[in-house]
Formats: sequence, structure tokens, C-alpha cells
Amino acid sequence: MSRFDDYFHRMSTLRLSDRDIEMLLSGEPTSSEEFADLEVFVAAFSPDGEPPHDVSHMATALAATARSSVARPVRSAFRRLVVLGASFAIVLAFSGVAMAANGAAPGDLLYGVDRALESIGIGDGGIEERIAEFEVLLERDQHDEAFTFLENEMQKVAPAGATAAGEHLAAARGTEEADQSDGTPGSEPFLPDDPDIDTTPEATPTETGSGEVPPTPDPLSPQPASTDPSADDDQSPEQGNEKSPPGQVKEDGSRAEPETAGPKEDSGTASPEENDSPSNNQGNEDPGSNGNQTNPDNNGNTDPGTPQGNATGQNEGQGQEQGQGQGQGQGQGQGQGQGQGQGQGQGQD
Amino acid sequence: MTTYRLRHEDPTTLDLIEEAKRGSESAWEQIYGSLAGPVTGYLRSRGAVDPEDLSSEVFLQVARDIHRFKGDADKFRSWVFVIAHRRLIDARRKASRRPVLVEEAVGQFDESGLDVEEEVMSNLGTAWMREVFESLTDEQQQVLSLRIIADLSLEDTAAVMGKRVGAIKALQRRALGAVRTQLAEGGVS
Repeated sequence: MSRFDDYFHRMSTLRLSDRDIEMLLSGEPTSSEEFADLEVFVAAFSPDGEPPHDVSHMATALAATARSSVARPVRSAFRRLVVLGASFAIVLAFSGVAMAANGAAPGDLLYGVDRALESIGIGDGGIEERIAEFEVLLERDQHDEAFTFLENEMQKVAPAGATAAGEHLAAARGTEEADQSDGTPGSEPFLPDDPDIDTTPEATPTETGSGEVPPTPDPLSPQPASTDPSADDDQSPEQGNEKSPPGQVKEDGSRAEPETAGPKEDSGTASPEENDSPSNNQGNEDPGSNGNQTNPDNNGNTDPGTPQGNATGQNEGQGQEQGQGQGQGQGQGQGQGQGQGQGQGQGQD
Repeated sequence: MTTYRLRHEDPTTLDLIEEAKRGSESAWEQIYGSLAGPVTGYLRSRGAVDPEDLSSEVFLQVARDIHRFKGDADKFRSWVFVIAHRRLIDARRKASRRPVLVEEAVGQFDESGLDVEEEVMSNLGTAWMREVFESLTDEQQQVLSLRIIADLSLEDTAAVMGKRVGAIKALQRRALGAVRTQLAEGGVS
């Protein structure tokens, strides 16, 4: 573009006012003839010569399209947001109910929901949760319900082997009821690791002389010591327990650990053949750890010559003096077994 | 602000739009009859391959979306051209992705029945004007198409192009100046 053309271009552009431009573009005649060239240009592009074709046919199609689009609902963004929020709230509520139901115990309102959810794979389930629920019932002092619940669950888990265990539980339940009827504080025979039994020197009459020995006798053992009054008189369970609980400090300051006392039973003071003797109760009277559990065979496996007997035997004198006459009714078998063990321990020492 | 007067009286009213929403054929006859020419001319001026077909697609889209339209009758015209502008862009993208076969190009030439030389011979002035128009930049072509062919106001043109009114004023001023320069160079005045 030459300098003249550029100048002409700029001058012609500058002479176009807004009003002139609007009149040109609207097709109106301008005030000056100098814009005639632009009027020709605009007229050449005006849509006057383009009438639409087949208006009625196209209008029918457009009307049908408009009618069909009426039936299509247009979901607003707010409505979609509400639906999304409601769905999220439902999921949250279901998750909350599932979590709350997972911690429910038998008798709770949500326990049925818990089992239903477990049946479809939601929640923990399994024997661990059943045991946890059983412990919850025990903590609530609902012992009957706890034992009934455990029996039912055992029947479900192992119907064939649950008969002996059920008898075991029935005996344990009877012991539990007897404890409560005597007014003694409710012990927890099925919790062998109860810290009260191990560490409290002033044990209740239902507690045995051993920290590992629970207060209830072995329900499956024949309880031969209960018929021996001499054993009851000489060695009540409280004797050894009050003065020198097995597994704890001896008189000489040494600790009667089971491992360290093992060689004493090897010396023949507590041979396995003595299982038939009353001293066998030393082993069988370990129901706190074994007897009250579901496997009664563990009672027979308990070594009668455990260091418990040895330890308590060292304290025999004091134990007899302080513990006589206590707990005879419930701790006969245990007391006798301990007495035998004590005598053996003395002989060794 | 200069009051812009439409080159043709627009029969579109709010009642007519409501009737069109309900599916009235007479309402659609009026709307299509008044807007089909400008829409087709705008699409042709913007280089659409088949402006008539593209114009039909534009009005079908208008019929589908007319229930979403909210505004007065004045905005309806610019709303239709916004749809036309978007459909034109879509058509250009499709054309750019689709390779043009030689047979297809020849067929199009034969179907149209037009030849550039024949057109020039029949209407030399119009062909020259088209060349002048095509020498403008794309935005200058668009603003002149919307103002002249689509017969849109300054504000509606700004709405369709997504620019401010001041920018449209400057754009159309430069476009007309370039046209004048081209016409002066070509001896057409």
C-alpha cells in the first residue's frame, strides 16, 4: 500500500462517524454521496434476495420438534445437587447404622441388624466377635444370657463336640449361681487372667490358692476331696492363697515360678501316677485356666506336681491357722488338692 | 447511543415465542420466514459449504432448545444467531477433520451448477464485492455479516461475538475503511 493509499484509507475511515456507519449498515441513505461506494457494497450483501424455501414444510418439522422437546424434562442443577446430597446422606446413615450395629450384643436393639449384616459379609462376624459379645454380657452381669448365648453359638459352630462343653458350661453356670446366692462377690471363673486372683492376697473363699486356679472346681472331675473332711479341715483353699500364693514369693524370698519348680516334681513328689490320689486335684483344680474352658481334657493334662503345690506347701502352717473353716462348701476339691501338694512340697524341702 | 433500526420489521414477539414453545406451526412459519434468509445469508457469507443444510440444522436446534430460552423478543434474534455461529464453527471443525475427496469436490462443483467465471459474467459487481469482502480479516467479515446480513444491532452483534460494544464499533469502522480502500484501488466506486 502506497503512502497515498494509506492516507486515503485513513482519511476515508476518519470521515465515517458512528451515525454514518449505522445508517450505512441499516441500509438507509447517508447524508453524503461520498459514501455511495459503501452503500453499493452493503446493498450487495443484503439478504433481500434470499427468501426461504418451503416455509410451511419446515415449520411443521420445527413445531413437531418443539412439541417433542417439551416432554423431555430438564433437570436443573439444584435438583441434581439435591439428589446427590440425598444419596450421600443415605450412604452415610447406612454406614453409621452398620458401625453401631457391629458393636451390639445379644439383647440390644441393633443386634439383629448386626447379625443380618454379618450374614451378607458386612461387619466382622466370626468366633472372635461372638466371644466379644459374650464378654460384654458378662460385664453387664447378664450371666444367664451370656451362658445361654455361648451354648447356642457353640452348637452352631461345633454341634458334635458341643455336648461335653455344654455340660461344662452348665456346671459352670451352677457354680456362678451358687456364688451369687452365697452373697459372695461374683467372680469371673472364665477369665483366667483376672488380675484379682493373681495379685490380691486377700482372696475370697471362692478363690483358690493358686493364682492360676480359678475359684470354681472342675465340674467334670469327680471331686473326691469333697468327701474327705480331713482334707477340708487341713487345707482350705485360702490357706496357701493368703500367705503364699503359688507363683509368688516364697518364704525364703525366692519366687516359685513354674519353670524353676519343675525339677521338684521330677523328684517324684508329684508323679503322674498320683493322678488317682487326692493330690490329683492339684492338677484338676486348675479349672480357672482349663477346667472351665470348653476343652475338659486339659484338666487331665495338668501336671499334679506343679510348683503351686510346692509353694503352698511351704506355707502350710500359717495357711492352716488362718484359713481353716473358710470356703469349705465351694472349695473342697481345690483345698484338698492343694493340701496334697503342700505335703509333698514339705517333704521335699 | 445511536438507535439502530432493523432493515426489516421483525415480527417476533413474546407471544409468538410462547406459541412456538407450545408447538404452533403458524408461529414457526413466522419465525422461520423472517429469520431463515438472514441466517442462511450469514452462513453463506461466512464460508459455509452448504449454507441451506446448515441453516436447517440451526433451526432444528432452535426448536429443540426454545424451551430454555429466557428473555424478551429482542434477544431472540441474537440468540438464534448465536446458535448459527456455533453450528458454523462445528461445521468448520468437521470439514477440517474430514479430507475432501477429488470426486466429492467435483460433484459439489457440478451440483451447484455455478462457475466463478459464469457468476462474474452474470453479476460482475456482486462477484467483485465478494472478493473485496473476502479480503477482510475474519473478524471484520464476521462483524459485517452480523450487521448487514443477519441484521443484528450493535449490542446483539457484541453478544454473538462475545465482545464489548466499543470493540464492535472499532471493528466495523476498520472493516468499512478497508472495504473503501479496496474499492478505491479496484476503481469501483
